Amino acid sequence: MTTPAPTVRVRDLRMTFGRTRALDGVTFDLVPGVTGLLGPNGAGKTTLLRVLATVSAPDAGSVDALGLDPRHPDQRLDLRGRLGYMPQEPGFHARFTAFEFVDYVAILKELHQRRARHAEVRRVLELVGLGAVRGKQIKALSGGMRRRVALAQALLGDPDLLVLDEPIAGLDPEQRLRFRELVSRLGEGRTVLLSTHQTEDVVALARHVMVLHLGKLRFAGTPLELAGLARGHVWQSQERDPGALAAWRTGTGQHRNIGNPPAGADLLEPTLEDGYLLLLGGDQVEEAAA
Amino acid sequence: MTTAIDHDDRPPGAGALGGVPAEVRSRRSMLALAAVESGRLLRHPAVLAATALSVWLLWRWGRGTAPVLHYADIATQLPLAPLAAAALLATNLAVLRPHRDGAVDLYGATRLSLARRTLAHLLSVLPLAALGGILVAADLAWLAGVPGSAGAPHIAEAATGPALIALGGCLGIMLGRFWRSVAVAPLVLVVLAVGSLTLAELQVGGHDGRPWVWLGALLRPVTIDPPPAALLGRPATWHLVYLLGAAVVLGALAVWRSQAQARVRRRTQAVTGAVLVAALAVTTGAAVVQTRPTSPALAARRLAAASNPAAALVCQRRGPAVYCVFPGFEPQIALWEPTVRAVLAGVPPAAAARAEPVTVAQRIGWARLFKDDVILAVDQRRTDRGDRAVAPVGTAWGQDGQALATSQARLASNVAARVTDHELRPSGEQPKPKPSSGSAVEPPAPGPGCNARAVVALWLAARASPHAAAGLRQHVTEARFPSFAFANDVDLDDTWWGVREGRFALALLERPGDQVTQTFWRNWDLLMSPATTLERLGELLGVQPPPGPAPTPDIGGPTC
Repeated sequence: MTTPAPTVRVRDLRMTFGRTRALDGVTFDLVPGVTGLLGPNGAGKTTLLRVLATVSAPDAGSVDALGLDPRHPDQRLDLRGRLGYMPQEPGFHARFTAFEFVDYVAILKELHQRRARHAEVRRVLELVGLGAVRGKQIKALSGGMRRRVALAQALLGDPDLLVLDEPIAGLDPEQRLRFRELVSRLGEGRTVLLSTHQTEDVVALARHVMVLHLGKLRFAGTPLELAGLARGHVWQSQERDPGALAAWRTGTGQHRNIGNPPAGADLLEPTLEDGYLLLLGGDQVEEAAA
Repeated sequence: MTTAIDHDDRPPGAGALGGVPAEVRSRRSMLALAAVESGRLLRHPAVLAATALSVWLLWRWGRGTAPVLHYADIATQLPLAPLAAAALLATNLAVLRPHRDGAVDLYGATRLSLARRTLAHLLSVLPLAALGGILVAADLAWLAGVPGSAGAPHIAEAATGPALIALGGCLGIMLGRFWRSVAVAPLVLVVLAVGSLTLAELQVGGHDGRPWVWLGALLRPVTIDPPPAALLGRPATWHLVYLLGAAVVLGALAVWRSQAQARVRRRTQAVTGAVLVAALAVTTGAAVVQTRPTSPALAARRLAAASNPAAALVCQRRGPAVYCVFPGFEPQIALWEPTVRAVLAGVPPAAAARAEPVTVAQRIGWARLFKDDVILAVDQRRTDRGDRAVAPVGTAWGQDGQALATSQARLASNVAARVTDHELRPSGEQPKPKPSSGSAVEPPAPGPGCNARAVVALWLAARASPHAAAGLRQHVTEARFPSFAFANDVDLDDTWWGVREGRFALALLERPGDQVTQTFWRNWDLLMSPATTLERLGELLGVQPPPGPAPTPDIGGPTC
């Protein structure tokens, strides 16, 4: 199987807010399909996504998305016409109906023909399962429905690049499942960058995963590769191993430990979460040592 | 939730944008956004409430008198102020919506530029301004259909209210682009309201002396009786240009700010800067022109009209009277005729046959347009001319209530004075100019001319209609001096009456009208003699004349 050509190329992105380095030399490629972006709070995920969505410009570095360079005004506009962005906090206008809100964003996206625009708004609302409530004011919708409204506006114009900032946060398990299903299908034929705190979402959805921490890209690869980082570093024991970077009691009553196992430890098959925790925990250990 | 995505059904995507040049697409999107925003603006609660208030104010404002359309158009301006205030607040909230709701990031990833979004907001104000225009047009159309409606509206005066709405909307948008707090617009509104009220107070007494008050947004008319349009002297067109220019300045500032925030090309921003400078130049020019003092030509025309009003009037004979009106006021004649006929009907036919036709002539309360020394000059010129043969009537004819009572009493009493040959000022004393009082003259002291003839005249006037009687009753009751006249802006040709005579006439109204009429007609020649006293009249009628009012120290002179 040949590797598809990158649709997004990011090189040495740097961005600073005061003394905080939000992005510190971030470089990666994105290919069609869903790419998960993991990282703790303050890792720089939202900053990176805002740059990709052309909301803000980096201090340094370059982005080439869909063959367009957002530093050039014309290309930036073209890129905006081909990307869908779902911010972490979309900023709903509570008195708008779902239809009015998505229609408003459609106008901002320059879908200027009224009839075609309205058809498109109805399409994306149907796509996210909100066709029946499109006339309801947003303030009357549940949290899950609001997330779907936010996703619907990102889908306007059937964008080639979707940038989703924690779209599944705050949803109940059933809604999360449905959202995953939807995002999974959206990833077919598009480039989707999905920021999340939830490793299980990445496992469920992403072909590729990146880990951002303190503004630096710590990992880029497949979920299996991220999980593989923890191979030989996960073991179970009756008691919590004091030498473990992280340990917790599982439902079997055994403790799952991550770190450098003692000799003869009962090693376990690592998960993506193990790899993620080891990656971040290892850094923290190194930082402490330094 | 539907999750099936069939890629064969994918919409054109970028194709939805494709095929149309970017500039055209952006412009059309801006218009689409303007349409959406204007719809939301028109449905905004503040705008709905302000519309209701404006409609009510338009309905109520200036309804006391028969419409004079070149004056009624001015009266449409202030009622639209609530809509302008609502436009300021609502557009400000609309511009700040992404900031208030935290949607800045979402908007930032869309194609339509901040400057175009600002332009869309500016365009969204136009339908609201058009709504104001429709309200004004409807009001003026309705007024034009009212019987006695005179004159023609000035397009610039009628457009001033809608322009004020546009100005309010542009101000709200500009404030939103410079300050992201929703508290700024209400504060600015309060400051503007206080400033407008202050200017409104400063213009009391006439804006000719303080032309700079035109720098405010609205100026109400200062006289009660509307002058002819040619003598109004309001720089309405320049004021409209001033308001619209200011609106463009504010709009250009908002766009310029948007472009600066979005770091657009300098060339684009330079175009906006050029528009801003041009609008500023136009606004400044209009401000200068509109605040120029009253032109010598207009002042001369006003002086001529005041000194020799007959020259400015057009006359026509209708039945027993001649009516002289300022051009354009002809429809009001029909309103006066019943009153004039009713007064003349009380005169013995033989006496009426001998008399010259009564001339009813329009007069205006000029005092508010002139300085004191000019009033003196006018007074002198008209005294020298000796034109006292007319029965003056105002250009503001009351339609109901006190205004109608005063109008009818004034006309009826002036006509009655002419048919009875009642001296204008029995003592021969001329009224003195009354500086800075809002009235042309101060009342003369009633002299020895207090006589039966005046009572007959007032009785004839009061019998003309219930409204005229109500007017007489009110003026006699509320008179602060021994004499009074029936007008808010008293003209030099208006007749002054003694309070005692008025009381006598009111007392006679309580008696059977036929009986009084027969007595008057039988003794007409006697009663028309200036020497016939009130006591003699009392003897003829078998009633005791009412006592006269106590002497007033500041007026002096004897009372009837």
